[in-house]
Amino acid sequence: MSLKTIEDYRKEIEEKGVESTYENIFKTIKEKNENYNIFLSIEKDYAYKRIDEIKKRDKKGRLYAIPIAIKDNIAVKGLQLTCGSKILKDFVSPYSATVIERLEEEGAIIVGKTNMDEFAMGSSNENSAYFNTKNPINAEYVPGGSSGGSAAAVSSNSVPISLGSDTGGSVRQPASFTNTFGFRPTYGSISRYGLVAFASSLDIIGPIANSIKDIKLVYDIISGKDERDSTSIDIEKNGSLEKKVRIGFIKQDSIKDIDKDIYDSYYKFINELENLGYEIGEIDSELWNYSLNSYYIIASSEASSNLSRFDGVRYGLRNEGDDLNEMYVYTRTKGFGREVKRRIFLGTFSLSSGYYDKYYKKASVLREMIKNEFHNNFKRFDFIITPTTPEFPFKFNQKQDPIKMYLSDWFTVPSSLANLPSISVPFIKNEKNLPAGLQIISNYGKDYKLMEFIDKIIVKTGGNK
Amino acid sequence: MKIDIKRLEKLSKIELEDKERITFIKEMEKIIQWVEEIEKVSEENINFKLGLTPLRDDIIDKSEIKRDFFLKNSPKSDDEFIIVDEVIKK
Repeated sequence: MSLKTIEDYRKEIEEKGVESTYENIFKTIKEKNENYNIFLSIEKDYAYKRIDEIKKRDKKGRLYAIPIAIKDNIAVKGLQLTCGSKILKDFVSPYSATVIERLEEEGAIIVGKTNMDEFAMGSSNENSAYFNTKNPINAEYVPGGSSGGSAAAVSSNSVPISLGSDTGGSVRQPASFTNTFGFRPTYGSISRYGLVAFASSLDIIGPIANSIKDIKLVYDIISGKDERDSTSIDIEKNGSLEKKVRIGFIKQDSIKDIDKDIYDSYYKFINELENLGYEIGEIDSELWNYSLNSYYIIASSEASSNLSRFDGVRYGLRNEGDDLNEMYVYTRTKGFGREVKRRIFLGTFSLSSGYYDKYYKKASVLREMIKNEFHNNFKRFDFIITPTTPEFPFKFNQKQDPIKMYLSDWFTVPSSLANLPSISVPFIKNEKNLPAGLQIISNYGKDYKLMEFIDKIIVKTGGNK
Repeated sequence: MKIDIKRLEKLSKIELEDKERITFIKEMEKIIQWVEEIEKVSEENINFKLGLTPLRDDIIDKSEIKRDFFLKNSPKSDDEFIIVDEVIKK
């Protein structure tokens, strides 16, 4: 199966026209969805209305009639916004996220909302309150999470591009598991307006695609300062690389609990880069071992606060009780799933009186230390390369222990904490034909250099097998 | 570390059934023990301040969202208002 890019859709549209192309698109979506449970909603009516609209325009736009799938925690006016949760089962978004406005301005067509772990909390899509999305590469395996539906939509060739959201690895980890490109940009470089909040100091929207060129095009369209998100920023668009590219990798004995195939291929690839003449140097980080622990404190603390808005008063599910307090309790108890409850408890615990200094404050200090360490490392290197995931995709119900599930984000969490851009690139396949990705991290705001590096060097030297 | 799960339930406005409470206590104690590993790292001399989000001017922006949308999304409403129990006592 050849993987389709935006260019392939452009050609098809040119040859067959928009209507007939969309007949095929929705046929494919229906078929793939039956096999892999990718979409929480397929938005055929919405798409055809939008097609009528773009056909009347004078200017076609850079994504003219290109189908896009959207994670169901990003608001599209008039469409459902469940966040994979029962608590928002019948919620319809009254407005569109900034990213959606920007995509639609360029002619993109939203074709559906994709499945996800409830409120983006999970690494396998098994935490969706609705159903499990299956990995299109092998349906016995999970597609990763939390943007598993968005990754599966691209990996199954239902769409050339999708949007997910990444807090600790939720775009990169499913990209690794589905053999796609997944981009977590510099924090703030894409507006969060219209993205349902999980952990606001870490959340960012990111694209998933079958090529780095498509990632770049979509990022170019959706990124940049937005008045409606005061943490949003503009970043430098210069992507030209230094003459001598310096690459950092993780010191060999500091990686533990990693699949042997991934470990071997990773160091082999670093060797290849060195043989090609790139300046290579190792990074020995003690702090990486504590990133996940810090992350879970910080992210859960923010989540416990952000999710307090789901109380049954103004929108979403309401379960009546004898008094107001009972209504709050019944609504939240019934509306949230197990993982969401665990994280709310953890966050509530680490922010509660007597524990704040020991947990939340300490984790925040560690976060600053991790930022400083990256800052120093980027004096020595232009890019840091790591595996994206410590393992290949796993099977459903394989990880009952929550901590084992959390470890899936071991490599992706450090750059999240440091607000840095990082991309997962298709890398290797094991003997079962299951994929694993390679993660490239660059310095703050150097997103265009990062994409250029992947386009010019990584993909061409065999990082994209 | 022993955790007081009932206190967390009260603070979170989530109520566990007796049976699932036992599993939750086990899981939460493991998770908290795991996150506590950060104690092993000695803190550098970092002056940690909570990051402040830049604020916009306090000007009302004209909203294009119609009242209908909010009413339809609410669990209970009449033609004009969302109906809730008394939230703030007189």
